Amino acid sequence: MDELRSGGSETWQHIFDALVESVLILNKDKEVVEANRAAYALLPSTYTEIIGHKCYELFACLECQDCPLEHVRNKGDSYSLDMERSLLGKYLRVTCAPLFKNDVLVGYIHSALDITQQRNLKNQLVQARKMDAISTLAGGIAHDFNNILGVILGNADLLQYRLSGDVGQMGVMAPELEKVDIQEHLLAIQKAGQRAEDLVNQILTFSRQTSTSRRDVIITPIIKETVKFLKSTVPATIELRAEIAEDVGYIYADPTQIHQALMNLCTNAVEAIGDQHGVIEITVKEKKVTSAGAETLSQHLQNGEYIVLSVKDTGVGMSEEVLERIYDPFFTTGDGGVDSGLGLAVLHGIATQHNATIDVHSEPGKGAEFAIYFPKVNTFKEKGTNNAVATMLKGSETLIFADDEEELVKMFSEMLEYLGYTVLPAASGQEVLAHIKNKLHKIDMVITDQTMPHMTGLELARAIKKLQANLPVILCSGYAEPVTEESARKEGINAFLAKPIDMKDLAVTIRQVFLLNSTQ
Amino acid sequence: MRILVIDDNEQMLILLRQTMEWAGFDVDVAENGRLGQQLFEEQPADLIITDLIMPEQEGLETIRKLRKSAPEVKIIAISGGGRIGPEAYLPAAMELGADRIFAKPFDIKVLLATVRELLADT
Repeated sequence: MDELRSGGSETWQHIFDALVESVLILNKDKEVVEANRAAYALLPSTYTEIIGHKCYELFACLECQDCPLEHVRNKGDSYSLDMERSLLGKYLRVTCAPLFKNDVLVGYIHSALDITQQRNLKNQLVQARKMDAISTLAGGIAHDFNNILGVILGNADLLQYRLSGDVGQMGVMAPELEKVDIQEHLLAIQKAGQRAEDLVNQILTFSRQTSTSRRDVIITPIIKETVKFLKSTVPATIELRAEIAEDVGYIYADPTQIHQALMNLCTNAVEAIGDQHGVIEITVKEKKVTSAGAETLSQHLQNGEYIVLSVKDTGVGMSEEVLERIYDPFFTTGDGGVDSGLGLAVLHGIATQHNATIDVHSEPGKGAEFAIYFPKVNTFKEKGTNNAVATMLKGSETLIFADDEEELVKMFSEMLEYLGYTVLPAASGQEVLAHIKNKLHKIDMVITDQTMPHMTGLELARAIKKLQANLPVILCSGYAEPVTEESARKEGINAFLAKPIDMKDLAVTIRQVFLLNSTQ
Repeated sequence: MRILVIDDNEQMLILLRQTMEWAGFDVDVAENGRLGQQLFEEQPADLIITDLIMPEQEGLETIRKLRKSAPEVKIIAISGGGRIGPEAYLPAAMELGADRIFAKPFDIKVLLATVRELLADT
């Protein structure tokens, strides 16, 4: 082992012993050939001799499963690892480096820094933050519920007082009670109850207890609909820009929750901008994450393909300390900068349920950008359309599929053709009516989107029924559109589908409508 | 007698407005402290009922400013508690000069009786 020693120079020994970290020089068999003073201080005084023992005998009794020396042996470079060493009752940051002589590995340098105190302080901090978050959550829920209860009890009280027709404790005769007054009080109670229900649902989403209905979806239609809705709701002082890539792939997601995630992000952005003039940019794009590009992200992401939904604002921005706490429910900076309520906590819950990662960049005064990385899944086609279609209900009729989103028309026409239908695509209500009027084809059904320029789906349905009363119409409508199943049926719509459309649902609905139509 | 009600909860505003109007008062409402203060400057009230946790300008700030500009106005603070604990806000409102405090949910009859009692002194 002489080749591992430095020649016994007194100076070298002084330097070696002056190191704060415990340093061991090991041979290839992991046996200690040299130990500095800090190593003797770190290891229990009951160890009468260190030299000659294998390192794991000193630190862990048994050979370590996550032995950093193995990494050094295999890769030939140094390796660092934080390890709990219960034998010593300590947390250690162990760094191992190879020791070469004439380019041949002859041993290792094993250094260990005691980080027990640092680790304990961190644990205490995490625990304190958890408790703080819980108390903030409890306070926030109590505040909202007390307001709700105030409205419920107050209205019930007033209703009773008015029903009694007495002066009572109010000290004044109540105005005469009419049916509409009773309805008003009940409506206020009902609204408060619904607010409580929403609150419970939000808490459950945050705590990841809700059952979600996830499937392979393209999120661009959901995002476009949400943007359309947001454009009419954000203050006029805020410009909403959207850049949505047309050809992004599928993710495995619950559409309702994607809608909610974007709403929460935009609400947060609107609050960050406040009364000022500002811009919110919403983008959807595909991104390939590689090890080389990963360092620009605030969160660790596995290499792979992602669909990235991001919302960037020109608001007040956040400091690093605030960024660490933004997902705490009801967290507030108290200065109007951040008051997240449950919004960002719910967003975090949604991201977790979708195995997605949120990457946030912000600085005070420089706005913020939240990017949600959803793992891309293989597309309908890539999974084998024929297999998927094989299990679906088929038909041979001629259908018109109308939507102003060209990409959607193309995709659904293709899938419906796989099911055996002849499909006439249309980008507007006028095109649908032209197909019907020119009688080049015998049209058996129209499937139409609600929101199209110049003529809505409902208006189109009315026009179709005038031309051909028995032609069945299926209406597809998004979240932000004020069409309910009931109102659709009133207009003579045969079936109603909520967007984004699930292909299996559409296949079943088409057959059901044909069946019902033939028996009428 | 004129009462100004400040609360960001729309249903609570409706409830308090209805009750106070039936009791014979003129009522103004505002949905946050900043608007409430503006309204008070345009049309002074004899009594203010204000929530404490609201956007834009919180109730404590509103009470502090109102007390400075109108020391004689009667103020009732109402609150459903908050993020640093329900017990922390209402006593702070008293310290800043609120005449009475009510934790939500409260008995509307008791609130009305308190309004009458405070206005009887003026």
